[in-house]
Amino acid sequence: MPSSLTIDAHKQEINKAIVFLKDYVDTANLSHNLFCLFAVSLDEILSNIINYAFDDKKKHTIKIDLNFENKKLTATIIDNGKAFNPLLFPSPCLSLPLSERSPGGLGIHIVKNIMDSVSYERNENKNILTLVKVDD
Amino acid sequence: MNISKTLQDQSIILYIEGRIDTLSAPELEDYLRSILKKDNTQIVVDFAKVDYISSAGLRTFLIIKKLAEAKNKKLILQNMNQRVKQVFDITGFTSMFEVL
Repeated sequence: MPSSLTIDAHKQEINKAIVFLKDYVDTANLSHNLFCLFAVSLDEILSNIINYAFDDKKKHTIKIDLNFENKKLTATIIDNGKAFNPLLFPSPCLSLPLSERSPGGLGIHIVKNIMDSVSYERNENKNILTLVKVDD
Repeated sequence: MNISKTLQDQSIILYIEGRIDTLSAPELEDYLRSILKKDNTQIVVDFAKVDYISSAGLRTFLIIKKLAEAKNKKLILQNMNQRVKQVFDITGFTSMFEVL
């Protein structure tokens, strides 16, 4: 059954999204592992949007849709910030020694690796990112 | 996130419980920085009760590892579940730390 939540684009609101996810996963009787993988992904995607999508001081919101169907959980994250396709962000160089490592770009790299699929579209001035993972 | 600690010889063992994410990572960094100021030569972080870690948490451990090395202190990460280990593995962080 689909469910939606809209949060303010503010760091403290990320926890509301995680609670929303937990409630959805518990109600649908999905695994704790699936919850954790989506929680990591939401933390990464929402913090990216909050930190980089908006150049003005206006109040912005982010919408999160969850839907479990055919053994797959789908999370769709929609914001009206500047166009940004995270899938085009270059992968971090993982072979650098510790002294030269910076954590930039790690978030989307993690999401791409722990989800079964990640897709992006820009529609009506909105960024729409869709994450899909089968509940094993 | 909750943190408890025990002392063992020159080691301090930290047991982290819950989520290491955007909201909790700054608190964890502050805590680990305060631990680095103590005399212990070895810091062991136990992940047995960590649900998940995001890149904000990795950033914290990267910073603390660099600070620990500068102070000639050893940082050991142990008891990661498969999910947490996966995040360390796919980001190349496993090879940068002593992981037990």
